[in-house]
Amino acid sequence: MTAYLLRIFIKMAVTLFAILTITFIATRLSGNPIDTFLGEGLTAEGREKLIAYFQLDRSLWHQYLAFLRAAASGDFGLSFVERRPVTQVIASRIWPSAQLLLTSVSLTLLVSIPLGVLAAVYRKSWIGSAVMVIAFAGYAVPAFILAIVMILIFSYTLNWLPVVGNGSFLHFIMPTIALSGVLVAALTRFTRNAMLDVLGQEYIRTARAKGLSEFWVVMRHGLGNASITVISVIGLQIASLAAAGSVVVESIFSWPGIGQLLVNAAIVRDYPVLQFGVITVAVAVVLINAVTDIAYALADPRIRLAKS
Amino acid sequence: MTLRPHNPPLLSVKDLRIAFGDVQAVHGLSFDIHRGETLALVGESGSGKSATALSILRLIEREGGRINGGSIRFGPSPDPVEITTLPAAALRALRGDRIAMVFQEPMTSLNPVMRIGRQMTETLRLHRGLTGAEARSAARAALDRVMIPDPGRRLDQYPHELSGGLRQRVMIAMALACEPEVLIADEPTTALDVTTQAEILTLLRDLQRDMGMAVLFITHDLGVVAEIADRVVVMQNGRKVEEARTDALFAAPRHPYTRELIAASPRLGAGAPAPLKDAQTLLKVSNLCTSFGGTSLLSRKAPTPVVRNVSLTLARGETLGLVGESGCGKSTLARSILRLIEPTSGLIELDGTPITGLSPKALKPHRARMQMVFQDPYASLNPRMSIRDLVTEPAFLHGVAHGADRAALAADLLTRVGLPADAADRYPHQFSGGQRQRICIARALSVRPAIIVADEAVSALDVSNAQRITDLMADIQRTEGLSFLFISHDIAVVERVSHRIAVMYKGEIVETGPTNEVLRAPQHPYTRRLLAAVPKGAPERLIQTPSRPLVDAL
Repeated sequence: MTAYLLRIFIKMAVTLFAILTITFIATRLSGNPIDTFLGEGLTAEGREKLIAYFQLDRSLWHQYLAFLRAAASGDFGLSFVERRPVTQVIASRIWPSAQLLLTSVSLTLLVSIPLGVLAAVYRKSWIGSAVMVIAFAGYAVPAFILAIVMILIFSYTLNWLPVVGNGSFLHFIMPTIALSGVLVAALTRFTRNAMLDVLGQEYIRTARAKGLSEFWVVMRHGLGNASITVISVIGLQIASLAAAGSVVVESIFSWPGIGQLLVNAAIVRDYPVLQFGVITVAVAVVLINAVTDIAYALADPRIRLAKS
Repeated sequence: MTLRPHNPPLLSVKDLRIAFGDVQAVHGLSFDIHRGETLALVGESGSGKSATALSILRLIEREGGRINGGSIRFGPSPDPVEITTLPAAALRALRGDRIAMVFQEPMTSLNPVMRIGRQMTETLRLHRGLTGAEARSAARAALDRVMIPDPGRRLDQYPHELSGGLRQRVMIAMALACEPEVLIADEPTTALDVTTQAEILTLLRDLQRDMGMAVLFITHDLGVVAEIADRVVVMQNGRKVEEARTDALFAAPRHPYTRELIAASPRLGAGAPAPLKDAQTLLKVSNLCTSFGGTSLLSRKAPTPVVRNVSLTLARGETLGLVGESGCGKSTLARSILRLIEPTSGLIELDGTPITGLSPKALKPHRARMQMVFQDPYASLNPRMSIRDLVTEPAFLHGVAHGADRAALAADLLTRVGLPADAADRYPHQFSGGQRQRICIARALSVRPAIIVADEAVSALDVSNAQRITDLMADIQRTEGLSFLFISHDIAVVERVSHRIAVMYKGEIVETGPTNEVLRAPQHPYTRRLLAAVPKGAPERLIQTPSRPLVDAL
């Protein structure tokens, strides 16, 4: 397990380095950032000044090293708009995003795993079919449609739920559902397939031959094994949720998180915020994957106890 | 024709019918088992024997089958229960308590994410109401009974930490934890090496004698039947064709199918092909070593040697049999010779040309001269390719056949392996296991190889199919002068086909020589142990010998 953890950490470090490098290359590939982001209304003199300030007149290699040096000391530049370090700007946004992610992931697990198990166990009856129809429908409805429909019904018409902000428990309901919608669908389907696979295994027959009731066969022997495959996928799904879903959902509900910040930064061309925001999201994805890897090892003794 | 000893049967199956969907798998099977008796249910795959085993606890319903006729009565005669109509709760109370089961695959029949102890106490809690320390000590006692060394430690281990033989012991311990009256053992030794098989059979026989239970033993292996059974029911296509006491069955089989089965069963000592005289050496392997692991940046362990210092030769037109237990390095050796795995050191010469150290490009023409046939005929054929494309693909890749030639080549190859030429237009799923293995051989023949490496090529087949395949190989050898490296864990099969034999143990060739000589007068202790463990295929070993201690330590 120690070697396994060590490997995860080394993998993380390498990935982080790669993220920094790719971010750097991507911003430089897209042309002179001064022109791209501050193109109109800039005097030739001001442009020269900015280019000198950002060291854009130096060689790419020099810029890259300077970028890495600054990054290592935690300096990712100042926000054009807020005139304070982007690290501070982003930091204030992390917790709201994390909260929303946590509630969404919890909701997803609570709903999709039982549904997936049900769909697998009753795959030949109407229950299984019903679950799968719901899951496919969930797949088909994008987060922004789900969000807008919910707003129309629960806020505009019924006036039950608030739309904007993150002040209370009630504020969480609609963004959480909007963010988990697609994930619930995906994970239900995935849990069902993993369970179907596991329920066909020979140790399940052994468990039945022992005289265990079907409930324990499914829950203890079935889900215990299916969880390994489910965990391996869950990480990737949550990561994509954190990266993509939150941008849409946070914008719709004016949720003061990183997703909303990124959209606004793009609109006002706040290039340092955008750059560091992308890095932050990428780091979050890496962290989620590392946690997944560890959970995976905890669920599977064959990984956990592997001697390396 | 059912034999009836005086005491009433413990389990009585009458006119049992089992169907999978619209297909009737078992057509009216009847047999009885008595206390203290072992009844073997013998037949080839598809004969319905496993379906019968699963029906007795009605586990068949979860495997897509159903019982559509007949009765299964269990228990003493005044008050037997009818299993076919038993309510679910009463059925569960029987399962694992009064009737227990052991399955074929010890690797996959235990839950991989649950500790051995928990898997065992689960049964004890359910049927005996034992919990905590009580359950644990009962589980420990159950492991003790099957003579697992260090039972206390095993309870905290996971299945993957145990060897196949130990896992099967755990399976048996688990099944016997509640001291059942009937034990159903479905091919319990098929996945094991002969030495481990001998241990498990001895163990089962001793336990049965001590506990007085009835055993229903399902197997396709007549050698095992001779070792363990009191009576035998022979099944074919879902019907009982013969029932007899074991000694009577072997002495005078009445049904033609039984006779065919006995004739096809490889029997050790039946004689091997005589060694070739002045044959020209085709393949020479000297001091070959192959190791796994140790190459990764992060792994701290040293590389594990799998093949150690192996030297062997293979002559033109000769078959060299390579025997040894699973994990001894046979397959790695074969793959190293073909350079499918890169050997660590050593020299391989094919027809005088060293092929170790050749670049992939320089190796390619030599690749065509050595072809491989694998164990699993289901997994080694791409299901989406037609037989024509499958059998001619190597020829195509090596530039031997193009376009229209492929059809003609396919027809020719299929004829040579005894399949109709029009099989070319079909797909793998339309063929049986034996036919698929013929297709694999045709594929290997397509590039006119000098050597075919057959890695457990008949191990997945029924005895009669296995015999047809080995006969085919011998025919091809006679007519085309091919050499075979024939790898198997089954010495009796190796004996039937090999001019010479090499015994492999822990990565080394411990003994080699003409097959008849090695088998008649084995020199190495491991060879002797291996030979002693092989079921003799006749009931002479029914004399009850006491259990030998575990030989895992050797």
